[in-house]
Amino acid sequence: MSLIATDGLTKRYPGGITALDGLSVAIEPGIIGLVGSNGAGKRTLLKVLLGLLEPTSGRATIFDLDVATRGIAIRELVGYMPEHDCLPPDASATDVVSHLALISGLPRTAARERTAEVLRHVGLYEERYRAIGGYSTGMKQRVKLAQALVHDPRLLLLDEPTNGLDPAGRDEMLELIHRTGSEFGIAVIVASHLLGEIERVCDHLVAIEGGRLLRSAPLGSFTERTGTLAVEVEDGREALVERLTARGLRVVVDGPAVLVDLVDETPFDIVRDVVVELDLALVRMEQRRHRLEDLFRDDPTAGNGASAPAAPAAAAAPPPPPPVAR
Amino acid sequence: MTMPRVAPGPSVGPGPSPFVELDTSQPIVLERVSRWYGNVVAVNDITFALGSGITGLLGPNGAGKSTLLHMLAGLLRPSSGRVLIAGRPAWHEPSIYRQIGLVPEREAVHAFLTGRQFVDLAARLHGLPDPAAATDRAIATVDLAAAADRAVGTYSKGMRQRVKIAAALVHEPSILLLDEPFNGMDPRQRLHMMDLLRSMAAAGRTILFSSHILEEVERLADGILVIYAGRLAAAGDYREIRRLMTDRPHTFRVRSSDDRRLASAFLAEPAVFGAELRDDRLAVQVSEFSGFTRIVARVARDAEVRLFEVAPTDDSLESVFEYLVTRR
Amino acid sequence: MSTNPPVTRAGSIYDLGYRRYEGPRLGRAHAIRSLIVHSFRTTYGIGRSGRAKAAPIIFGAMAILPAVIIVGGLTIAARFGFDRQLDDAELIGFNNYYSSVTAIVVLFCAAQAPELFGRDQRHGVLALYFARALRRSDYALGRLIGFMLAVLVMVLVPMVILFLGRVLLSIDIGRAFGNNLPNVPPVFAQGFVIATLYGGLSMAVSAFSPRRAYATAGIIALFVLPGLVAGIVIGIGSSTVGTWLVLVSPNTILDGTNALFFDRSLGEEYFFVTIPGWAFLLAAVVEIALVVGLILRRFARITI
Repeated sequence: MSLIATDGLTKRYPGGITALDGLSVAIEPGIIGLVGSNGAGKRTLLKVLLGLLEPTSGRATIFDLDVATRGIAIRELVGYMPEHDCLPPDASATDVVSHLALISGLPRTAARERTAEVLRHVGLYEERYRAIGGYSTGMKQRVKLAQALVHDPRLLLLDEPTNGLDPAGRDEMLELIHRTGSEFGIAVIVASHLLGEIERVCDHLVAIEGGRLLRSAPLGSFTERTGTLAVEVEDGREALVERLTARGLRVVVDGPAVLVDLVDETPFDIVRDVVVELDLALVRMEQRRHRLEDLFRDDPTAGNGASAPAAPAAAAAPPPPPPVAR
Repeated sequence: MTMPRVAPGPSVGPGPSPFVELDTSQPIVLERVSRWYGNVVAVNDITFALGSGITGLLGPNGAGKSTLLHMLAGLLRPSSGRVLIAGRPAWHEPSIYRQIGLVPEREAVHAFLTGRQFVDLAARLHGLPDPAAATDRAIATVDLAAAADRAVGTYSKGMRQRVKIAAALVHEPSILLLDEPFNGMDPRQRLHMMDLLRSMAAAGRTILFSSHILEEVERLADGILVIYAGRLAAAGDYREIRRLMTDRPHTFRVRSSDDRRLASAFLAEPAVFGAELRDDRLAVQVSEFSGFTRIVARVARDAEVRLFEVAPTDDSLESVFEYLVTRR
Repeated sequence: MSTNPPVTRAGSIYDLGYRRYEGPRLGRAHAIRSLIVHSFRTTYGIGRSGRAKAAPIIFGAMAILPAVIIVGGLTIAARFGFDRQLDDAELIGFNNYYSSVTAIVVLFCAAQAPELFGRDQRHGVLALYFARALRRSDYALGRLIGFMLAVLVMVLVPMVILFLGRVLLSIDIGRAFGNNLPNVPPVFAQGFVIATLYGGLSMAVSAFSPRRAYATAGIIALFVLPGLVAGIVIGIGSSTVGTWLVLVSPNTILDGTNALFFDRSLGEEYFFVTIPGWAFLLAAVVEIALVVGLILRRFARITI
């Protein structure tokens, strides 16, 4: 029983734009990142799932309820945080959220209580009676999240939740999202362009490209270690390169780092010993990981490869098994 | 505890350093610049100089970044101090508009124009001798040729950003100022744009962009400028800035074949004052960065422990930035 | 010396974490009711800032004013013993009160209808409604009915004042009550038609025109122009077109239904056309149905 399942989902807009093109994917509960090139695909998918848009063809279900026929039942269980501005400036956070709680079917007393609770959870307790027009972007985003949570949904759909937030605000929002998914026990789908935040918060990724499924996999599978060891020293990089090469390692320079091919575990010791021999200061020694953005690069090896190729790019080597600690 | 002084100086970074001694022959020079609106001080006594390369402008919302960019573009007059572009004051100086391309954050495009018309308009306003050719080049550079003849109102946010960048590039300025340029771009477009900016910087242009997305600034910028409450909080390579924060202990993450043994070996060293055993790694707190880096490999070797990973944990731009804007 | 019993210390930490909601979820009917109440309150500016209350208070006061004046007049007359004459005189009675406050009601609708559909559209709030467990039509009807109720209240309150004044200030309350009672059904009927017709038309304009200034102007134009045009057309001699226009223009429809309900005739000079009373009522019903249909269609199709 998947959380969400689509089957050949297609949406064509008048004017010829095909936003979804036979998308078929099954998503399990968790904190899921939804990424796509070109905003049209992700947003359209969210709207179709919410019943706000009718698909041209294909099916989709949430909690095993068909989106086309059981829209109301689905929306009872789902909370939506839109990307665009959607709050009236002359009402307070409490007014808006409690009104929407009533619309979601909560009785009046429960609506009031949950509104206060949810506003506290998102960190807006003190300002909750002030008019929204005076809120900062971060506060407005929190109100949007609060109204999505107030009726205790089982699934949250968040569209670019950190849009417009400065680094501190983004941090807090991501922290909140992570808590919501892990502590509150609510399944979360985060649609975002920012791969860094998805890497940080999500445990699963669904990537859409041109309206079709590109990849759907646990996040770990995208960020596995590569077969490249990056070494940085404070000075003496050239000497390091020379000595490592002399010891038989394949070595390439990439900016401040020296990249070493890992065919087995011996390079770790060689690097350590060479650093001691040359009396160098070791700043960093780290196996490079794949990054989410490699999915979107035209040349998959370019991300971790060398900028000054003296030897072929190291990413082609098979990664050794992750070393056992202790 | 004094605030670490970061004087403009050569930085240790991956790319060519844009920071040099305050030298008015540099493309961008700000000297004791302030800007106020009545009692509100948006920019407070800022001084720096930038040369070719990419610099990231960071700061919380309302810190004064947009004000600064508008002063650099000659659209706002500094209340005090000098803003020099290629050696000449920026304000009310039409000749500098040829040298600067500004990509503002707010929507600045008429929805009914096509992309091509918008860029062409900019080309004509600059008085270029061959606006059509320049337009074509600019549009090709941002990879918008396919959609260039559609109305901008039909563009996605990322495409609108690209058309604004094309219009800012059409006169081939030597200085490019961008306010949140990656807003709304999908990952592919973002990578493409970063490559574009890198190649322009390599060709000698001076690029300053403001962004909230620290991981991108980290990847793209050769150096950073951090603005906080209108003041310049730090400038230069962020790793160098981190080294200068001597009042904050450094932490390293270490993974080895025997963490416990390595931990006790570390604790014998004066540079280390804390070692914490966690699930699958060791968190080491050191009183002095270089003091640790010089000894880590030796200690491991002497203890006959294989090192798998050594990395500073708060070396990221995220970490540096957080420290800069949350102290006091 | 007795020993004290051992003191046990106790303390508790209560979990302030997120709690699930296990209570009742009340479904669409509750949602629609809440929307009706919310729309009613918004129309009168209840629970909103002082500025939002200004228009409703001003128009409300103006609508009540004639009734208050009449009642005041009756009070004075009663003191001086003229009440018997006034009982029978019909300066402004129930049947022609409405026509004197038509303008006020129009202005009230023009001012307040945009606050409902217009505001929600302008600020993008529709997404938050439609993503919830109610139909688009539920939303549209909830707002519409709330507004119509608000207009109904505005239209009936002066009538209540008038009724109470006439009855309670009379020498013979019982007789006055009996005399005035027959007025009650027509008053309600006409009030109902006014509320649904004016309310529906103005909400339709605001549904299609989220910009406040355009909506307000549009509403006023909608009420004023057809009547004018009808007059002109009849004046130049085309009585067929004129008749249709009279049946379309809201003001004239209301005059017609008023006459129907109070069992009077419009008089020979009413636009120089003869139209039976029931035709006006039919026109009202048709127009209201059309308008509601338009509104429902608008929100069924709007993309958010």
